Amino acid sequence: MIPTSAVLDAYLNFNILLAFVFGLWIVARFALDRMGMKHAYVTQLRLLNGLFLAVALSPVFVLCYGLIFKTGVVSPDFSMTISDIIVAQYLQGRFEMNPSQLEAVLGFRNSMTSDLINFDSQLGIIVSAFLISGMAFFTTRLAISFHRLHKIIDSSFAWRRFGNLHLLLSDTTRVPFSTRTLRRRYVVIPSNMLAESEDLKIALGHELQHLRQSDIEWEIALEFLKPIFFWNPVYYIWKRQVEQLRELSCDQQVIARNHYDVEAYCRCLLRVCQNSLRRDHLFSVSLPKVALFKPDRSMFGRTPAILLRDRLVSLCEGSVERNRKSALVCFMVPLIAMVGVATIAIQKPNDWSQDRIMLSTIINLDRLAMRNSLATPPSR
Amino acid sequence: MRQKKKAEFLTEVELEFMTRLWELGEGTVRDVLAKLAPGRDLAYTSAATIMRILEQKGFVTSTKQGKTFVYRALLSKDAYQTRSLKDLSEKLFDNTPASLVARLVDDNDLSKDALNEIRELLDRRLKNDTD
Repeated sequence: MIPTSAVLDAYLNFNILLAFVFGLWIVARFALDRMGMKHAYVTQLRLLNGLFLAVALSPVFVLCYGLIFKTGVVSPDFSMTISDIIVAQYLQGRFEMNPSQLEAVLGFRNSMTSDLINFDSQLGIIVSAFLISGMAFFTTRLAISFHRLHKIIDSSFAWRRFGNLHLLLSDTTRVPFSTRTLRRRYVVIPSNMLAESEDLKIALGHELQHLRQSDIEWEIALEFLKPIFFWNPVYYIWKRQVEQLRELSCDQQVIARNHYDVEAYCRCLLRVCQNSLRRDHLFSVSLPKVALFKPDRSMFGRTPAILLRDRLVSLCEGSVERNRKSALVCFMVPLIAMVGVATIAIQKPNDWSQDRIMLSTIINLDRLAMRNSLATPPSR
Repeated sequence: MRQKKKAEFLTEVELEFMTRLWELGEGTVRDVLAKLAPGRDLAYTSAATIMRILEQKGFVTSTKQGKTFVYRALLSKDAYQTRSLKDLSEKLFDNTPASLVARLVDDNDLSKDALNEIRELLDRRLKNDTD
């Protein structure tokens, strides 16, 4: 059985890695902007999703790293973990610090995980209670949102069917959206939209493009991760970024693929937005679906109005840049390599290395010297 | 198509279709489409879907004549008006129809003729009740 400390350790690693990789993404996006690929939304979305996949697969990097050690290709003394590198730098005199303090800083994570598992300190109890109750709350919320979505689908009217894709008409929703179950994919259209053939065409084109881009699968995966990363602001910022890029790339693709009139497309977006402003209680809890327009405000990130404005501006600018695969590969390969290195770097150090024994010796000698200096000198 | 729980009220588009069908008495999808406003750009398939949904909701029934379906309203316009007013009275006027009528009578846009007509209707109803 996997020990609890290992699970907690992996959990902390995922959170740290997510923050680090988001930093990498910001740099990559800046570089893409400078390279004139500001509007290459498809490339940007793929890059962002690829990075998320790399974070999710980070245990594989750790496994590969362990295998390399086992085969003996690398010396057992070689270490890439941050704490080992810091100790080595300290011993080489690159920076000065009290050795006991350094040990306390390096051992902070261990003592924190131990506190959390054993409920040793008050802080440990508070943090554990917060994590457990938060996870329980967001899991319940997720279950409710799935149930609500099931109810919407169940109360909708079947319109057409193409293989496992079901087009449904709903009286209860005002915004077209797509979602899926394990076997079926759904596009749900407000039944009133049937009377607006131009809007209907655009909404269908938009939702089908989401299906082509596998946006629903990504959305569901991110929703499932919410109970785990609920406290991590990077998760919300990341999700908002994915949502924004998803819509921008989808708009761009739909316009390019179907040659819709940009003005008609923008007007359709505004009409859907206007309809969604009539309070739609079904959308008060975020559902695992991808909608033409998302009226609810997320915890972090821009308001729906600003997002809509960005979409309209992006459409009107008309700068449909080529989404070059070569650019994607050029960015993806080094970034994934960096994710791999970061994954290894944040792991717990292996057993006692020479450097760690040396640090421990220094600390012991330091303590001994302090004790000696405090001791009263023998009387003559 | 799956059988749905019968809906009580019509959506905006459905009401537009039902109004035309009430005027026609009965008719095919093309008949209803022809009765819609001339500027209404509506595909035949969309209109047929709306009629099918109306049938599923229990507002109309259809009979096959040759290759086409002829639709007939199952609910009269009067019955639907009563149902809508009842709902309005319940939701917006705290289930007191008098408040609803008071609001209607207070309306400045109501002409004298219309007010007289309302008075006559009330007198007739009161007379019938006392008889």
